[in-house]
Amino acid sequence: MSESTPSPALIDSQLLELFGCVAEYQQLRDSSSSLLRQSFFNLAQAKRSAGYQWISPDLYSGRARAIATVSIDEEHPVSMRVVRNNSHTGSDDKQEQDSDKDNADSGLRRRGQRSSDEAEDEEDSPGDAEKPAKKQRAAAGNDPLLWFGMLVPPALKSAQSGFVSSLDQLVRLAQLKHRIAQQQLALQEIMSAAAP
Amino acid sequence: MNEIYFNAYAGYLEGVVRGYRDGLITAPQYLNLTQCETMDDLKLQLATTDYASFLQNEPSPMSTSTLSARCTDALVAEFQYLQQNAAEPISKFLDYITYGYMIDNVILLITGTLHERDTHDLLEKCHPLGFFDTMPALCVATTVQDLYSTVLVDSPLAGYFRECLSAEDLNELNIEIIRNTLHKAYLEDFYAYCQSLGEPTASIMSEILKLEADRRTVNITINSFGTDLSKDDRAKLYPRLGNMYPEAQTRLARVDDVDQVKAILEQYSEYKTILAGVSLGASTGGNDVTLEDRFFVREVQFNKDSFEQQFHYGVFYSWLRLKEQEIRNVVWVAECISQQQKDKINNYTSIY
Repeated sequence: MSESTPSPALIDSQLLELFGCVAEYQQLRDSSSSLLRQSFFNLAQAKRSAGYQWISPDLYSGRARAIATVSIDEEHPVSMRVVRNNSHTGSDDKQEQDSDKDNADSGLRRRGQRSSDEAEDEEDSPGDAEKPAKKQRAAAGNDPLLWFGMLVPPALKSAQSGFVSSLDQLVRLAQLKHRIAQQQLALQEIMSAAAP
Repeated sequence: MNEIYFNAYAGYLEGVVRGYRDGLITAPQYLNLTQCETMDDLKLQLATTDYASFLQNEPSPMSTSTLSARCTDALVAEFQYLQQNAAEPISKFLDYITYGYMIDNVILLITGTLHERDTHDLLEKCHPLGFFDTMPALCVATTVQDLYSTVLVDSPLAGYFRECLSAEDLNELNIEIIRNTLHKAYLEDFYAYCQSLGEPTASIMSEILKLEADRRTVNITINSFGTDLSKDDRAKLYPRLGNMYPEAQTRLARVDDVDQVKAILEQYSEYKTILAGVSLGASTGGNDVTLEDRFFVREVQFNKDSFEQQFHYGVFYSWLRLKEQEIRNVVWVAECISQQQKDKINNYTSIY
């Protein structure tokens, strides 16, 4: 056997890796499919419960911005990932808060008063404990679920969590698909080199 | 004495609404609907119902939101016919029915304004039964005081705002509180009005409105878990009528999860049967029965029973609620068809 001929062990390992990726892809596809199916069903249940007028695109905010994006490197598509814009750290969020101050009168003043009241109450507690609480309140305030009201049916909350979880799975599926394509290409090259 | 004079001013309309009642989709028709494979099949089956003329011009493929909107148009057309042919005192009763839709429209407009939506878009999305003259001016209000003093003071909802004027700012929490407070005041006022109409309207509407109040109480309780709504605020949103008022409401105001809700409701005989076999979880799979489904079933039963008596105004309210339930059923079947969830398609509340 010449040195340029790939060994059977190499071919086997490449094949096993490919089959592993395909198996993971199929499993993840089934999982995300059932998750999305259940989430859409929960959405339909929520609409029936709350009324079709109250859970519809008519209630979307005009200031809506994506809270999660997919970062893709064209040269390395396998490295794509979900980037979640944490609402308590983004500069866009600060600008949004400033514009909210201009538009919605004392709504923010009331929220400011609450947080300052709570800060007075927490004077004796470590300063670090205050930050997560503020972050949580800010994050909760930017929850798109609030567009439909405070008292939404539990089915809508379930639908939201399902869709959020499915995003990670879908990005993983795309990564796997690219990886499978790369492995197929590499295997074809190896098989061509091994052919007499 | 009521029977002697009733037909003079409401007999024609009672006949009309009984005719409307006979047009409701029956169980065999629902079976045909559930056997449809596509939305086009469903549209074909609905061609034999009251919705035929409203659906015939819709292009294929028809979405479930379009189906819901067209079915609502059919309901609105029928109700508006009743309103246009009504005189006092029946016209006042029909007006009372529309106040609930007015409240929904007010909330829709101020929520949309808070979220910087286009005013014209918002007005088109309002429920036609809840339209009133000064409604478009709602979009300029930024506080509850403005809302009341510039727009609502001359509307039928003015009296219901008395309890809302303490909430000064229009944010998500306060809008939800305003919405539920308005509905609470409306329900209590409607109940008092129905009692003033005397028998048999008073007793028939009393049962129906008490059930509505109980359902609101349970829904507010369950939906408030995990939100910023405090327990004291939650208690203030419960309507002051119903079988749960006041004892069960006092207990429900303090609970923290659905298991505690179930434990409280099981102690009341009228709700023990409702809770049997019910899933109170956030999401249900398969054909799990929810508490909401049981409330729908009971509401349908009360509304059907309303037609067993004559010479009362309850038939108008009952027909409207049965029609809304029918629309809910049809849209549910459509959702299951479009999502290919045929195993859950039978989870509707059949009326006849």
